[in-house]
Order: sequence, then structure tokens, then C-alpha cells
Amino acid sequence: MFKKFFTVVMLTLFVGTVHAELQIEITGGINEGHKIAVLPFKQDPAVNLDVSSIVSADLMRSGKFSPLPQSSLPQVVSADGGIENVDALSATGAEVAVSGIVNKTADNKFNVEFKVTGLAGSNKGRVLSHFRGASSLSTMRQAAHRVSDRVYELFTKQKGCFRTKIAYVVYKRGATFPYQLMTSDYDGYNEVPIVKSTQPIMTPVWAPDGKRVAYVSFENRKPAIFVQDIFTKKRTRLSSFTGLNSSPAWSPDGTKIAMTLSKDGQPDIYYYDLTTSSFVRVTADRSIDTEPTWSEDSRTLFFTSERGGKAQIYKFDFATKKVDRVTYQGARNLSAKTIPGTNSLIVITQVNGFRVARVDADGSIYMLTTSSLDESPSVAPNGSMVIYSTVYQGRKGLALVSSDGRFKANLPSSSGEISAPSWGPNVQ
Amino acid sequence: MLKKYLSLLICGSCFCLLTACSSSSNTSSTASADGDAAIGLDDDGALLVGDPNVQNGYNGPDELKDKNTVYFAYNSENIQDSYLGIIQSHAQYLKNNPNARIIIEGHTDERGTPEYNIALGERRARSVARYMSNLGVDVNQLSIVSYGEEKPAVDGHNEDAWSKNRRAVLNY
Repeated sequence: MFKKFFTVVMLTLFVGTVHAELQIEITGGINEGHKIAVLPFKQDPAVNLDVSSIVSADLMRSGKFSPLPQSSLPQVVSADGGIENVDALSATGAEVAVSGIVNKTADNKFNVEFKVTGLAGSNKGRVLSHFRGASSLSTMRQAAHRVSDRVYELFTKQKGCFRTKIAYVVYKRGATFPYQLMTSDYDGYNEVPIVKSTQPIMTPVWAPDGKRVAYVSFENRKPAIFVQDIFTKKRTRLSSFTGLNSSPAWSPDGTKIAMTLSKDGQPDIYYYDLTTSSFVRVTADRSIDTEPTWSEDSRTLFFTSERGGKAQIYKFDFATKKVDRVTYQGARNLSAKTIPGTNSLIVITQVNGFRVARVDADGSIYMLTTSSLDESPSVAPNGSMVIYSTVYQGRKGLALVSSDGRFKANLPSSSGEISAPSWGPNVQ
Repeated sequence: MLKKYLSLLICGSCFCLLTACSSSSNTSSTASADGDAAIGLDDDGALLVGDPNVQNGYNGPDELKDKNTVYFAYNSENIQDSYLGIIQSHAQYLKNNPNARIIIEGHTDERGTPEYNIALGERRARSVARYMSNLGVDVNQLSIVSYGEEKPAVDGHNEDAWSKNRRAVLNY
């Protein structure tokens, strides 16, 4: 368990700086999920972060949990990380308690151990989950996220996504190379710069193996799509046709990269087949077709098209080769992204400005935000959360909303204007 | 220690010197890193790309310097009458100077999505290019690029800023 991810995490963290550029500011209702009590872990003094606060924050952001404020909880954790007074905790109304310890076992080696104890009904007093694993100080954040993943999985039977990464573009005004492509933990920690350019970078997207990103770069004064290894920094120029080379999207099965090209007269959808090293044209319509995005099974391509007038979402079925319209409500619908595990889409819909919304299989639209300059949504690999770009307090920055709309937060940054977020895959 | 290992790995592959690499029109390079503008690694391991010496300003004839921007209505690529004169001046210059090459940049305001705005920006640039070609300019003197909403002229999140960002810029 912990040993395996510990090794993987060592490779990803060695050049990272440990500071949070993205601070969370909560803006939306947080009182509707499972009430849980996350108790402060008994931690060795050498551990310089608060595991329980990372766990609380993770679970809260998913929209599915409402961790009770720690100050309101009776402090009843025993030396082995278990609960001493179930009745006192049960009285808070929480469904379960999460408690644990972080103790030193050797030089820079720690045991991270936690229990989930039921507080209600037939589970009252029962230990529902008990895990332990090893971590060093530098991987302690990942160990905390691992606790969150376990708790999330216990309740939802779905994989957690708290150990995933995001990629995004930062614009640092005044720098020689102001356009910067970064990766970080999904909560903004451990930011690692990948590319710094004199010209714009757009639309980073992850390969399903989590080791490469594709993106659009204007470094040659015209747009080209590159594919780059985020660890070695080696890269390949994939597409630099005349006209647009835009909007890359990597298929979940890893075999194809969809994109928008206008070399044949107007923006159309194409894909590059990595197994045959060839470009294949998907649409040939006279209007704008762009923003391709793959279904979970890689057999459908959703995209934005103006073939019916104003921009709406359409889909191309690889089996039937047919194109069908998907969205009918709202003045415009753009930037569709599938929500894994569902038949729903996240879109940017134009209703009093441009907002993140969810389109369900029956066509109904549900607004998830109240802002008006939203763009670039990207969905967590377990479908629980959406990260997107918006304007908050006059600055361009990222924000999170749970895909059920229950939890919202802005992630303002002090390091520049941030845009184009892309949620990385679950590679644990 | 690990940083050194990383630089050794990179040195072997990414030392293409920066140039204004002009990729030929129908290039679809899938193989090499040559022809991109990578110039090496920054201290923090990031790949540096692009030419910091390239001027971002206006490179064309002085007499057209203050008349090189065409503005557009929201979501439109139609050229409004008041801007035809600007385009005609540049068209005339190009016809008089057959070796001159113009780059028409298409831009949009920030509303909508970045990728959609790249397509809309291209529409605007093409609109201007088509008009010039109809005026008799040789198509070999015309090229277009779209920056969508990526390079606003004016920061701000209101119609005043947006109206100044919906534009085509004529540069050389």
C-alpha cells in the first residue's frame, strides 16, 4: 500500500518546491455532505504538517462530506490512534470518526496509521477501516491524501482522486518567459514548472499514463501542438500545419490525440493515431468545429460545432460514423467534458454570461456556478470535482466546484494569472 | 544530485538553438525536436522556449503605424465600413512593395472559451485577408495567425476593455 506509492511519489516530488501557490477560499455551501469527525492525529513533533486538516479539506472539496470543525469535537483519541469515547463523538451527529497517529519508526521513516470508527446505528463503535503505511517527511502530504482516498472509497465505493495532479498555465507579467506551464498536486501544493515561453501556451492535456502532456505553443509565432515528458522535459512537435493547431485531447485508451486543424479550409476535428502515426479527419463541415473531447470508452468524440447556428455540443460515434447533436438548451454550449462514471457532461453554457454547468443524459442542464466568465473546465478522474478558470476579484484564476454543485471554492494565486487547468489521471 | 542527473538527460537531446524557425506551410512533423524554439533548461528544470529578442511591437512602415488595427463587433468577423480605409492603405502598400509580407493577427475578447476564441480570431484574420486579396493583393504576401483571447490589448473585465480586444492587427 504505502510502500508502493511512496516510491512512485519520490520520483514525482524530487524537483518540486513545497509551497502552496493556490490558496483555497471557500465560497459555496458545505453543509450537505456526510457529517464526519476528523480528529487531529497524534503526530511525532518532527512532522511539520497537520494530516487531519489535509484529510478534512480533501473530503470537503469532493462535495460529499461535511467535516465538523475540530474545535467542536471532544478530544478522545487514544495513544494507538483509536477512539476512547464513542458516545461523546456520536452526540455530535457525525456518522463516522477518522482518527490516527504518525509515529517515527526510524530515521526519517514514519508510520501513518488511521482508523475509521462508526458512530451511528449498527456501526456504532465498530472499526470500519484500519490502515497503516510508511512515509518520509517529504511524502507526508501524499500520505495524508492517501488517508482521504481510503475514507472516500469506504463511503462511495469509488476511487478517490486526492493524490492526482493538475497542469495549468501561469502568466507572469514582466518576466522574460512569462507564459509558464506548471504541474502541481490537485490542491496546489508542490508546483513544478515544465515549460516557460515568450509566447502563449494553451490547453495542456494529460496522457492517460500521467507522464506526458500535450499542449499548444505559440513559441514560433504560430500555433503548434507539442507532446512532452513532464519528468525528462523531452518533447516532440506533433502538429504544425498551416492554420490552427488547437485544442488537443488525449483518448483515455491512450491511442489517439484529437485536435482542431483548419488546414483544409475551416476548423475541423482530426485525430492523430499514435499506433499508426497518421492523422485522420473526423469532421468536414463548413462551420467551426472545435474542442474535441473523448468519452470514457474512447469510442465517442464530443465537440463544439456551429453547424446548427450558434455553438452547441455534438458527438461523433466511431462505430456508426454519425454526428448527432447533444445540447439544446442555453444560447451557446462550449467546452464539453465527460464526467467519468456517468452519462453526463460538464459544459460551459451561456446563460447571463458563461458558466460551468452539467448536462445530464436526458438533456437537462444544471448550473454549477454563479460566476459569468468561466472557461476551461476539467473533470477529476473519479467524476467528483471540476476545476475551471474564472475571474475572481478582478483576477484570472482557478476554481473548484463539485460536480453535484455542493462545494465551491476559489483558488487565487499570488504568482500570476492562472488559466487552462487540466486534471491529471489516477495513476496510483 | 537529482537535478544534475536531469540536466545530463536533457543535454543529450534538447539543445536546438533558438531561431525564428519558419515551419513550411504543411509541415506535420511527428519525429524531431529540431525546428522548435527550445533553448535550454532554466535553473528550476523548466524548458525555456521562444526568442526573448523578438520585438513584440509593430514592424511595418512608419506611415501605417497608427493605422494598423481593425476592431470588430461582439462575436462577429464582419469588417465595419469605418475600417475599410485602414485595410485599403495596407493593401496599397503591399501592392507597391511586392517583397513585403503582412501577418494579420486575429484576436477576441475573453468571453467564451479559449479554444473557441482561437477559431473566432482566425475568422477575423481571414476576413481581413480575403478583403485584401479581393483588392488585388498577392496571396503570397498574406499570412494569418489567431491568438484568440490570449493576447489582450487591454486588461479589464468590462465592455470597455472587451471592445478594444476584439481586433485584427496588421503587422509585418
